Amino acid sequence: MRDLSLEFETEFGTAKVLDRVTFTIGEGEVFGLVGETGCGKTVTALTVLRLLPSNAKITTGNVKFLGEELLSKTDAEMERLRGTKISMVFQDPATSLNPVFSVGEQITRVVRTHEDVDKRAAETRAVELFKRVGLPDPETVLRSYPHELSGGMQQRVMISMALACRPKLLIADEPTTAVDVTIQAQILDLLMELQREFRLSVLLITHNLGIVAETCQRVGVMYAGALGEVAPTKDLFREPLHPYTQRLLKSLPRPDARGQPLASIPGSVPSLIDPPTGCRYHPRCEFAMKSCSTRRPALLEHSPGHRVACLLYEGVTE
Amino acid sequence: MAKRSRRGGTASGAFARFLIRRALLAVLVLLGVVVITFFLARVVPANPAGLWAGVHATPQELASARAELHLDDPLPVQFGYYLTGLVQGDLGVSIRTHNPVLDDIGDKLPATLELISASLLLAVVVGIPLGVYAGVKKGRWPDHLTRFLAVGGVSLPSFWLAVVFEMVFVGELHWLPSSGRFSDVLNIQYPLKTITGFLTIDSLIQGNLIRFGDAIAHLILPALTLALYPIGLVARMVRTMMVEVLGENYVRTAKAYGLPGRLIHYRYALKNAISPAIVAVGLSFAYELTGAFLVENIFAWNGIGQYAFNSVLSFDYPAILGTTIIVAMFYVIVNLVVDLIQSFLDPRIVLTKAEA
Amino acid sequence: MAVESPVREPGGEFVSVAGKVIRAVVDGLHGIWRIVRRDPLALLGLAILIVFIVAAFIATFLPFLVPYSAQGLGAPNPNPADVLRPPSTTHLLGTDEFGRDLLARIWFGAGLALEVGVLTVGISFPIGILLGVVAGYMRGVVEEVIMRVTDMFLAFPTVLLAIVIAATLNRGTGAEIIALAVSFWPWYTRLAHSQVQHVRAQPFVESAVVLGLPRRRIILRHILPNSLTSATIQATMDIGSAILIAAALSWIGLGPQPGTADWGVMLQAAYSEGSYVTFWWYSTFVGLAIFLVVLAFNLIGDSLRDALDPKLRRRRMI
Ligand SMILES: Nc1ncnc2c1ncn2[C@@H]1O[C@H](COP(=O)(O)OP(=O)(O)O)[C@@H](O)[C@H]1O
Ligand code: SF4
Ligand SMILES: [Mg+2]
Repeated sequence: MRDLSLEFETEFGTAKVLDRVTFTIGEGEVFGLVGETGCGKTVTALTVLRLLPSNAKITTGNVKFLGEELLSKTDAEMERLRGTKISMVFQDPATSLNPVFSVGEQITRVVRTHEDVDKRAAETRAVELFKRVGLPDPETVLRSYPHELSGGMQQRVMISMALACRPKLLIADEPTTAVDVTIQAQILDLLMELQREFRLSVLLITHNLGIVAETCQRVGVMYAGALGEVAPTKDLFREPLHPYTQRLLKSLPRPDARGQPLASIPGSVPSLIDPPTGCRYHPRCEFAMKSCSTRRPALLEHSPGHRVACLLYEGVTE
Repeated sequence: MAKRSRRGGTASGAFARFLIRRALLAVLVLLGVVVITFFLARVVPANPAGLWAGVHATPQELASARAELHLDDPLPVQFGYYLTGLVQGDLGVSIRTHNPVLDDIGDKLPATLELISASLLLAVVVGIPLGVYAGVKKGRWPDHLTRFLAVGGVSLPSFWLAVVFEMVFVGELHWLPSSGRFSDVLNIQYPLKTITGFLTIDSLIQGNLIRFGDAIAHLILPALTLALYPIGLVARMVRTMMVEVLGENYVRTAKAYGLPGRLIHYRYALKNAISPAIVAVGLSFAYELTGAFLVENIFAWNGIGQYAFNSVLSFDYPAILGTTIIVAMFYVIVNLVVDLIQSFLDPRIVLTKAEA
Repeated sequence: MAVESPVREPGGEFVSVAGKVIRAVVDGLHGIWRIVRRDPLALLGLAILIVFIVAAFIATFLPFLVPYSAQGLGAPNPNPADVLRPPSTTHLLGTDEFGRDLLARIWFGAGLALEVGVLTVGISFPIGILLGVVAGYMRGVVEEVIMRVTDMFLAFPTVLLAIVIAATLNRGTGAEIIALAVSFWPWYTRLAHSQVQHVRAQPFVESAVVLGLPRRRIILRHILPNSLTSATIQATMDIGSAILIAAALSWIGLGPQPGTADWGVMLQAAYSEGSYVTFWWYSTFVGLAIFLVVLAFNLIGDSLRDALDPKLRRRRMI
């Protein structure tokens, strides 16, 4: 993904939600995307699948997948790609499953859309998947409606649906936020097992640095629609460069703490309709300089694989 | 309206309770309808005894007519007589036709039900796709056009449209047969036995295709006239719901797994959006019963609408009362059925509580 | 919303309650405008409506501005040459069976139609709202009785009830209005009742109760104005339905005397002339007038329902 900028037409004006977001995910790699709520993580994910709401407009940039440009594909081509090559697990399984169809109907429908199999074969596949994701009594689950399942079970159903047609890239958008704290770890472990087993590339979206520390090889830190820092996870925790990242890490009681949402930072999340000029973080940055409000930092390589967008590292002193 | 709750082990018990409660409420409401209509009808500034006995009645005849109709008793006593009869299934005798009102209604009800069924069928078949299409194309010109058509259909005076249809397609162009339910000539040539009272069904059962075609030809104009309102209603309801449902997360999920658009719109989304359309069809049923008042009259459709119309104009209050009660009864029953269908379509709805 | 001080002189209270009620109605109308101005179809409806309102105003208060009088052209003994003439430059919409100018007849009819619509709603609306508010606030036996009676009236199909009532009264426009008002009030009662149930759960009503304000004052100052806004929207739309049903009543012969410039009566007269095709202008233009007015209200109403209903419906479901 390169230089992706995106706007939303809203009632109150144009919201410049994404500002030249650039990152890559290697094959079989788990890439974490962290940031506060509303910073544009979900929108980034939806862009990859081309599922943006109709008021969204991509202004610059491109998204390449296995060498092919996704933004110029036809709708039919995208339809074939979704579910089979790229798939997604959503944040809120309770509303993301269709309430008026049994989950069995929904998952077999996905299988049968992409593969020429009959209903029985699709059901067999579904039962296998349900077993694999640790759902007890898969046959019963198959006939259940979403509201009859617990949040954890719903999310397991989601995961099996996402993996039903063996995608290469799985986008997991805050897969544990909406489920019970006690089973968040189970879901996460399950995802990682499946990642190894299916050799998946994963874009793991979260606002929880603890999760990133445990699961991701590399990580991108997003603030108000712009990437502040992209680095291998180890490097990021050892040597955070961007002031925002430093702030995040400081506010974390134990770097490996699980289930810790980002602690609050002084100042408020800026309006994206009228985002701060220059560096979007400057109103809250403790190192802010004069030029921070006028000059926009570029995402530059600081050390091998470690990129940061901050004027402090561009040799600016005033 | 039904209350949402998790479906548990007591679902069938809750369902039984729901049915009982609804039935009791229905009886109460019907009783109210009877009271209101009875006292309204008795305020009619007319002379029922004179109607009953005929224009040239002698004073004695008038007196005996008054006695027979219990007109000399105080109103509450008259009401008591009426209620007693009602419980025994006796709606009184029509002053105009001198037949038991229940027999009259029984004769004419099938014709009206056939007409209404045909028009509601049209409403579903035309209204739902129209609504889905408008909802999917929200904000673009197909949406504006379908919305305009739907709203236009609701705004047309049915009695005016009926007259225009009748005079153009029948009177001038002769495309369709003149009014009534069948052609007299065919009725003599190819007689039909009455089984259901629905001419379309009866003719099919008896394999009489000529009469079937004839029945359909007679049905087209009145059914279309009556259908315009529910078509508009259904299309608007479905559109509004589609717009809402298409913004739901589960629609996005379906897209994320590559399900094709047509499947998403007509299966995944529509099943969620269809509930209010069912309600609309159910509620239009009542509208149709009264819409039939005017339309049946214009197309000489010998149904309960025409009967009620003539009863109102001749102050035939037993007939007015009878038809009103029957119509209200249908209304109450249809509402109940609508709720049941809704709970069947949406497994989250468990019928536990009867709200007004 | 602030809770006012419990002490106030009575005259002042009346003025301030009246002010609040007026404000709520104005808010409702303003809400209508905010939604309508964004929807081309609703704007079309509004444009049609304004034309008819201006026409009705002129016909009622400045009748001499209408080119022909409602009775005009020598009725009841018209010149046969003027009778049932098709549209021409002198009579833009043709003439009727008494040689009267059809445009003038329809024009005067507009005044009568809007009068019927506005009066019907003007009578049934306050009665219905008051009953609903009282039922919703008093609860207990009062609520049971009011709401069950409302149910009974609602079990009558509106048109049937109107017909039965109109048939028991002496024919005329007044009878139509009464018949319609009796059929309409229960709808407002139900609407207001559900609104009140919603409003009374709001914190500001609770705080008023806690502060020990008298009931009557809570109803008048807090609950009533808050229930009025959405009911005003409903009522505006109902004017169209009232006009449509009134035309049907007149057409059946339950309305004013033949010869009155009433659209339903005029359609009946056109109907009894026989051939629609020969005298096409008569039925067509009168029918069109009814259609356009009702359409105008429905276009506006449709747009409002779209914008407001999702919220209303959800409230009802829960
Ligand atoms: N359909 C939309 N219309 C307008 N703004 C939107 C829309 N969807 C999202 N946004 C805005 O985009 C920003 C990013 O949202 P999102 O990607 O969901 O954040 P998160 O990082 O929490 O996933 C938010 O400020 C949100 O207000
Ligand atoms: S560019 Fe300036 S404001 Fe932005 S993070 Fe660096 S120092 Fe802070
Ligand atoms: Mg999100």
